[in-house]
Amino acid sequence: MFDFINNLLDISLTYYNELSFVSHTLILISLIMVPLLIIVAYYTYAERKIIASMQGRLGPNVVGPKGLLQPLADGVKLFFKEIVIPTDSNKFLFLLAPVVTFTVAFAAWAVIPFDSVMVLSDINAGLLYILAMTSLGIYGIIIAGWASNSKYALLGAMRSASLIIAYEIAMGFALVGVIMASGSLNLGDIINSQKGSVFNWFWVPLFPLFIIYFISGVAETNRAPFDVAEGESELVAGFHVEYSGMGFAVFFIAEYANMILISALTSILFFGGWLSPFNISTLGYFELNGFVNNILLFLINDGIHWFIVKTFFFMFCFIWFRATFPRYRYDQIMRLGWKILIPITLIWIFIEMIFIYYKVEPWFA
Amino acid sequence: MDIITILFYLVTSVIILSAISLIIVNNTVHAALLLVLIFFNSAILWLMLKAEFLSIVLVLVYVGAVLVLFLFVVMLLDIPVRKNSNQKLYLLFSVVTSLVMFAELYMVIFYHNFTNEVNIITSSELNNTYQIGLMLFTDYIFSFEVTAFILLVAIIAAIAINMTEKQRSLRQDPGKQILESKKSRLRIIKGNKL
Repeated sequence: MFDFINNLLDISLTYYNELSFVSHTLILISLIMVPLLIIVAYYTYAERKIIASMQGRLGPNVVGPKGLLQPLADGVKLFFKEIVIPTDSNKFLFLLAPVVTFTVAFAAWAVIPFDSVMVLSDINAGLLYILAMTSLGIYGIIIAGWASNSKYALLGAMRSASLIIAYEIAMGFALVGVIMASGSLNLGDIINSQKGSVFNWFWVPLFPLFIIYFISGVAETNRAPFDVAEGESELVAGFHVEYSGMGFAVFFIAEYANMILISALTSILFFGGWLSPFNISTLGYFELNGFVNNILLFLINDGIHWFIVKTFFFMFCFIWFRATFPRYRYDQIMRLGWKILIPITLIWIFIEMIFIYYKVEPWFA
Repeated sequence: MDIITILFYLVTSVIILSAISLIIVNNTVHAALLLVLIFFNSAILWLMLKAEFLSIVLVLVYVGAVLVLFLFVVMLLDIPVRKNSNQKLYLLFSVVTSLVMFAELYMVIFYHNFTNEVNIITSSELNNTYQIGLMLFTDYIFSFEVTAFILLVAIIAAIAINMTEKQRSLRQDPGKQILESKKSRLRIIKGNKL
């Protein structure tokens, strides 16, 4: 027994560096994951409340004060529900699909810079990594649709797959525009190249690409008005129709995490991430007493709060779209993706090339 | 043992095992998913060689796009699982092919002097992506452009093949749909004739 513990200690000493690195990283990951999951939970609550107020209803208001405990109640309910596995379905793949969706949705957060120093993994090919991870999200949907052994689920998965393939190209071209403007694949460098004021951000020179990126983002996450994959009126619930309990909940969480990811990326790529919209040097000094002055300075300076504000704005837009637009027909979605969005991105990349060649101020100086 | 070495053996064993089972499994969807696993682990292998650009592009292009289309086709066609009747013939061919490939690889690896030929830039200041871009657009510009041209031809050919089907299929004309108005669709009948 003593020998065994000694051996274990020996091993842990040999791999001390690796072990400390792993534990350090795990703590950082949980620091990202836990707030994200809480935001996801309250995002569902916000969605129900906002849509309710847009439609003149009250929304959830029974559980807790103003219905604030509703997400917890939903979670508990889904957790204790029975997981039904359909007959003749592929059990392994059926259970694997939600795991894949969840993993991929959260893996992309590894390279998101929350602040000038707050980033889990500051890799050079950050944008490429995000593109790769978002393109993997489709596997969860396809596997779920196929393994369910249900016609509705398979049709939903097929619709979703063709939709994601179509809009991924437009999304990729929009990102090419950002890469050309910033000259880097690193997300931190992309933000730093937008330094200045609100008009130095990339949304001004890349306005069409910004619009296309956000539209493609809405389509990639299968949200209204592009939610043909779920299509309640035609396919019941699309690819996750056979899932119950936690399986359904995991798909749900992944979808909302993806929405938050797209919002965060839009704010990073086109709206300067953690950069402040004000140019501090032109504002001058504040003639206030010490404490208030410090708080004000902190608020106008660059920081994580600007990133959060921008991200929350785009998250609100997702809900706003859902409350406003009716669902696209399937062939209309395909036409919009292939025949409108992709040609616009190609043309705008060409125009941007001219901008860069003539060094148009202040973005391409 | 170094942690990188352990990881290497883990990843390569996953690749080899899933490659073998890829050939053995009867279900085509399982085979496609095993191919996804192989590509993913190859990407990890490249990442361990510090080729981050190539490894992420492998995941993006092959796993994210090509294999999605594979799965798409395999699921839609619903290929029935059936036993091959002439298994011995297949076995003969597969043994011959694998022996030839093994011999080729053996010759490439053991009779070839790698050390003096490949000129790898290993400065830490330039990142991997930048180096690949530099090489593609300077030393290998001709082959790079030729590849791009071949791909363009392939795209146009694929579209051209599809265009011939146009007469037989029913499709909507978006222009007509947009120009449609209330007047051309609705007719109000006056009077008490009903």
